Amino acid sequence: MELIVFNFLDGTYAIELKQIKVILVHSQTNITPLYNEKPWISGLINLRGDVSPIIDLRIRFGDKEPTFTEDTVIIIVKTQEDKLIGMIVDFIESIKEIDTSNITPPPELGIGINPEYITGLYKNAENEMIALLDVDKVLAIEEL
Amino acid sequence: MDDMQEIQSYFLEEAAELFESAHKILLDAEQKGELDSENIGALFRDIHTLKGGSGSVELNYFAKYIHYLEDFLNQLRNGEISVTMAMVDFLLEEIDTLQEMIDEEATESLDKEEFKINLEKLLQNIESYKHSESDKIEFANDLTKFSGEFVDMYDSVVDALNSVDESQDFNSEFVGRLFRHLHTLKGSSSFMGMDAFPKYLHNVENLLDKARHGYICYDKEFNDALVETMAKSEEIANDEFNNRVDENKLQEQLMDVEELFNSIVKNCPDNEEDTDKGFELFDEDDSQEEHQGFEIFDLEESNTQEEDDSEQKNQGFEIFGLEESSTQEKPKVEAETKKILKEIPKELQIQEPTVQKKKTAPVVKKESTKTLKKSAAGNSIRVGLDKIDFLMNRVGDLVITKSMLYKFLEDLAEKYEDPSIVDKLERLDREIRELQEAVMSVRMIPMESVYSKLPKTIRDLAKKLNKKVDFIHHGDTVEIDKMMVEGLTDPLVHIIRNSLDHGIESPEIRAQKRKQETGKLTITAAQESGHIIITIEDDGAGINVDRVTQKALENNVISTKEAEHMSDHDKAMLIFSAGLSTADAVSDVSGRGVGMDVVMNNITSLGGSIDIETKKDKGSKFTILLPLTLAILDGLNVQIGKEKLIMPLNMIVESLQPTASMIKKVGSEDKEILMLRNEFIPIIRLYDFFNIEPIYRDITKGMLIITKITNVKVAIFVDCFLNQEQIVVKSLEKNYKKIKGISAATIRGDGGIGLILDIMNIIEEQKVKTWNS
Repeated sequence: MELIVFNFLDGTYAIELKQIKVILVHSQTNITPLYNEKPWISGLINLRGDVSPIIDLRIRFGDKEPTFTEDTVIIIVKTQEDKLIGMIVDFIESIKEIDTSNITPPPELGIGINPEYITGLYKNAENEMIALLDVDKVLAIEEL
Repeated sequence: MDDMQEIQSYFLEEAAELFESAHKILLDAEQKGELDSENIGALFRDIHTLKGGSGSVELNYFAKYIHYLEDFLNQLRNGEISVTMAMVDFLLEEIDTLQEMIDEEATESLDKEEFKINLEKLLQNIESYKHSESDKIEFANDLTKFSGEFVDMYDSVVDALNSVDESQDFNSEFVGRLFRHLHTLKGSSSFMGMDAFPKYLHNVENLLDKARHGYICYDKEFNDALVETMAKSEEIANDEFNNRVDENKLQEQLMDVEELFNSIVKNCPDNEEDTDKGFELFDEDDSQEEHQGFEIFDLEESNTQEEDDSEQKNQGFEIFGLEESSTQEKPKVEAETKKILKEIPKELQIQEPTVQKKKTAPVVKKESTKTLKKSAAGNSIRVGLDKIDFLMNRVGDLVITKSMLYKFLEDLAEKYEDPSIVDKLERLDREIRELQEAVMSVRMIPMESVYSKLPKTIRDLAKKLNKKVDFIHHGDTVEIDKMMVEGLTDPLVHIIRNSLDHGIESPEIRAQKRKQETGKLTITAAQESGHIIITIEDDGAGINVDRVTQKALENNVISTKEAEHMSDHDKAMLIFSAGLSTADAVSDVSGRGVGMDVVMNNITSLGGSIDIETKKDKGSKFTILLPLTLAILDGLNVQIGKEKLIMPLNMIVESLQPTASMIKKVGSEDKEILMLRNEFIPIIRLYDFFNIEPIYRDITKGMLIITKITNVKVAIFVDCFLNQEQIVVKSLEKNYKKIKGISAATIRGDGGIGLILDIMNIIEEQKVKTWNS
């Protein structure tokens, strides 16, 4: 399984590479804000002629005033509902090929975000920990 | 074989259109109560095209079958069989059979036995019509109806004559082509009911046939003679179109042809030799004059075709001048040329009474121009929607790239103090915009294409149910996304079926109810408030709400308790639930309870909604509200604080900057009302609605835009309004969801997103707010 590993709220998260459509640099993306929407909806972007919403994962999971740097990126994901949705994360760490046998179910407690949104926990020999984000759940329309 | 399959699928698409066109012709004729020669002609052309196409894509059975039908139509066309109204039914049935057959053959499920039976039936039918020659309609005389086609064919002969190139190479291919065109012209003209003209051409054809086989050599002289004969033949045709063929004159003309050609043919080297020798002779000949004769034909054409186009006319004369001078060297040809030339100005002055034989030519040809233009309008190719989408997105990217360039150059222009840089870019901007609009319009098709499928369905159903219905449709030109059309046809057919089956009563019952025996089914389409609104209305019995409720209870769609709390409207909406049919007996038309729930599903999947209004014995009205997924919208940019929003232009009545005296406060809360010419219009502050920091909070400083939706007027308060532009509507639901107060989005010139206001929603939301407070 190939993963894209990224960082937000000082945690390391990952999703499967094949779910990713595009990665955009936040500072170079023109986001049109929306009104009356939930605070983590950053707005809409023009994704090759289509309109896609952008979700700031940091605000989604608790950060009130996230910072934006040159490393801040928007990962555009195709969800189960067949929607192209972007999520803002602090930076991309790496792309990793992992052995699925090293994935354990998410713990009830102890990681940054609600375990409801985690499909599993990957741990390798160097004791590195990556939480596998359940994007289909995080980005489900009714959650937005 | 894959290639063939692909071509076949293209043909099938085309065939569907041709069938539809044939249906339309027949249904129109039925309504009119007359199947005139024009109808038959059009029908013949459709069938002919189908036949030709099917043969080339190897649908051999179909081609064979349709051939007989074509034959029959041809006989109708030239009056060999007289047209009766009973034929409309027969033809409609045959077209249905054809449709089935083509599907079966394409999917290789054609039953050969059935085919044989069908074919026999067809032949019998045709035979029976042949013998019922009773009242012969004046048909053959009505040649003008065919003039368009005639001129087309005539022109193709002339074109063939013209096609000889500079080298004057009258090779066998050329002669063969000429022969074929002439042969078609002869054959068709006789089908059209002409007499003298084909006789005349027959002689020419004979000669040409000999030339084709090398018995006569086709040389320059022969060609000259042919040009002359064709000119004469036009005279004959014109005479015949005017019904004043003079037998004596015709005989004379026939003799002339013979003489003319005899003189040439004698000079020819003996027959049965290899033809190549003859052709070689030509190469030595001067080519110029030859060409001259032909070009004149061309000119005649262009002149008459563009009768009202003065520019074109002038051009024609200029060329004449040129020609005259260039023919100087060849006296004989010059004389010939001049003879024809003299006639041309006459053609142009149609009103001049002294013009005799040529006088009618422009009239006839004018008609031909029409048909030519018509066929030109039908010139189209099929393109996959994905290709258009791709094109569209690329243009979008182009716009964005341009904006980036624009910004960059603006900085540059500032630096070098040269404003001309930006000027140049503005032109590019305009051109890209035009390109964008053009690409957008490709996807849109008029509602007409949805309607066109319906008359046949309605007619068949009405017949089956023994009901009388008038089908009325409005809004044919309202443009709708092609994608939408596909999803819309099914629901429409279901609703219509329902209206005919359950809604409109039989003539007897209608008479009892003192209604007109013929029911009315009206479909309208309109673009309103960012939606496409389609209504289907019948003047039938209306929905029996109690029975629907009863059925819903029986089928456990709702509980008794629920039923108690439902309004009549809610109950009527129950017909959209799955498995609910109020028809007492299951007929083959409807009653199985599938249908109306399909309607609901399809409309919902298109992102639309459906509503019913119904009144007992007055009828029902279905209203379908569809989003304009990719429709084009005229919008006005309005500004609130730093934000720019788009307001659909079609909803705006007027805009004004009010004075303080025009604003009234109502009630204890600060509910504001605009008093405008004795009208009280509620005010909505848009910045409040969207929580945007505005420039002005004082109403007298900003702008009020009066909008109107279905008789409700609301004044929207904004800071100011900016430019107006045409925008492509992009769905928000595709990747996101409905947003309060926003109907859709668009891609702006700078690549960003523009939000389109949903005025209807804003008003509703505002109402809820007021209630809550």
